Amino acid sequence: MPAANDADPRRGLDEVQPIDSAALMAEVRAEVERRRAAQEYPRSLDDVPPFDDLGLEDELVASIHRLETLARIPGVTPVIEEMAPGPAVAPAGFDGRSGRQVLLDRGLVAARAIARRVVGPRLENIVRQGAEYLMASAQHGRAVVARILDLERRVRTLEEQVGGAPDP
Amino acid sequence: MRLLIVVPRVGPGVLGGAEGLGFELGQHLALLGHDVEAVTTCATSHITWENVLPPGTEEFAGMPVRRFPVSDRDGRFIPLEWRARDAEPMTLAEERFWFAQKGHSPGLIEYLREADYDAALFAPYTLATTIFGAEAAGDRAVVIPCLHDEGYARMRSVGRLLRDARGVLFNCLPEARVAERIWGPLPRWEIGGRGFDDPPADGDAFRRNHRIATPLLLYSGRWEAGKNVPTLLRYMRAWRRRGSEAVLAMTGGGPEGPRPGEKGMLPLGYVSDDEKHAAMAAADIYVHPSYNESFSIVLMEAWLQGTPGLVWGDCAVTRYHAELTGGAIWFTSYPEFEVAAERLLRDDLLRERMAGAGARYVRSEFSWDAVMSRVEGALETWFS
Repeated sequence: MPAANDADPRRGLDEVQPIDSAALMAEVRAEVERRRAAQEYPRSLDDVPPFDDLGLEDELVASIHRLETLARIPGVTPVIEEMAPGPAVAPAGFDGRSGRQVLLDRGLVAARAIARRVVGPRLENIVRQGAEYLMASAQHGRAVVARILDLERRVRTLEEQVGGAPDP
Repeated sequence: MRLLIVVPRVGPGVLGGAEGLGFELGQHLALLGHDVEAVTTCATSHITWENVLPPGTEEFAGMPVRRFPVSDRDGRFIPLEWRARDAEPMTLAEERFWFAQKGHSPGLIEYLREADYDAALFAPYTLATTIFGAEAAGDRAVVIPCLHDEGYARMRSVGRLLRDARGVLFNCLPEARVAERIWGPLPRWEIGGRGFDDPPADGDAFRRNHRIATPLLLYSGRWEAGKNVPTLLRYMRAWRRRGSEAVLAMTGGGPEGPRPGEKGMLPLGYVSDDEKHAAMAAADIYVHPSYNESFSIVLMEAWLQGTPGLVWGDCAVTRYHAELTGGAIWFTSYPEFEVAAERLLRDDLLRERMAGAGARYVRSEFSWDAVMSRVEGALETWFS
């Protein structure tokens, strides 16, 4: 680092007046604003995110794999299994049920069967649609990833061509 | 005290700030009269975790080192890698499976269960040697997390590690704040850090050897996107296209370096500490674009070599050091980078004063005497 001028009156100033980095940054920002106002910076240099390799390939592929996994919903088909009515046998060690309990149980079983018949197909449709939506999203995701990677390759090639040109 | 320093890798050519920090802390604890042994794996790479060095005991850099082999990895951890990095929810079982692929050594864990010692110090937080090792050490575990504000820090195993440890040694206050922001107040912690020597270095000789007569910026560290190096390279190229003659020297290595033979770039690769310090002394500005640091050793080394810093404004740790000391200013866009660098380059005395302010901070807070006084004090408090 080049030596500072020994005669500079500011030498040793920080003993009594520490460096104020906030003030320095205010100075920097003011100059940035002045240059921006003078349109010194082309858009490509001013707050535009770099179009460099996004490094997303593995991440996107992992996300797509997860979508595909989600799309495979076990038990979607068939969702409804009809229970064949069988003899109501009391478990060993328990007393027989009263007539009222038997009636109540039969009522509950019938209500559950009706609910399954009414709600089941609708539910199956919803789940199937969800699975198809996830799979379609995964397919679109693959297309987007391929497009991004292709764009990155093209930009890299162009950047290398620009980088090969002599510096101004 | 009988102390164990548990780090994942130790040996010649092993690079890693946290590993080096833990090992050096062990060396200084030994100098203070403690009975210290380093416990580590046979691996030298944190990428492959291949068992390269033989298991058993040896002496390295004046300290006894005990090595254990790393177990084979299960490739099914790769999809979990993204979830861990992005702090997506994982079950505890998934977390433990993920950690088990990060330098897990069953022999080392068994040794930590059986051995006779007062305390074991673990670094860093993202690896199996720390997560499983601290469990094995129980209430004898002291963690030096070297924590970054990242997805991994939000894994539940990490919260448990920090809360259950006998004590946590953070490197600096912003790191402790990050940990407490994520996991709430921690029961026992202290600022430890790493001590710095003040090595002499010949910046003029470096400039002569590399025939540099123009303004010189230096970056030192890994050349990775995670360190925001592509942004630095892009800004340097733009700055030179706009007429700057400044040169960027880079020590270290990685996939995101400059193009071969690129004008205005001086890629030095991995160099000795002496060469690195000479480059720091030669530079007009030490530029550190990384947005995730737990300490920033290189910034402090640059201050000690008389060079001010230009750091990424959104990195909590380097920004904290910069604001606290006045030893650095910061940028978060190309215009700020250009104007800040030009501001520093045109004022020799400002650079000298800034570097001096930074160096005074390092000598006062991070001399080995100051660091060891804090660390020994913390150990005495936690284990008394």
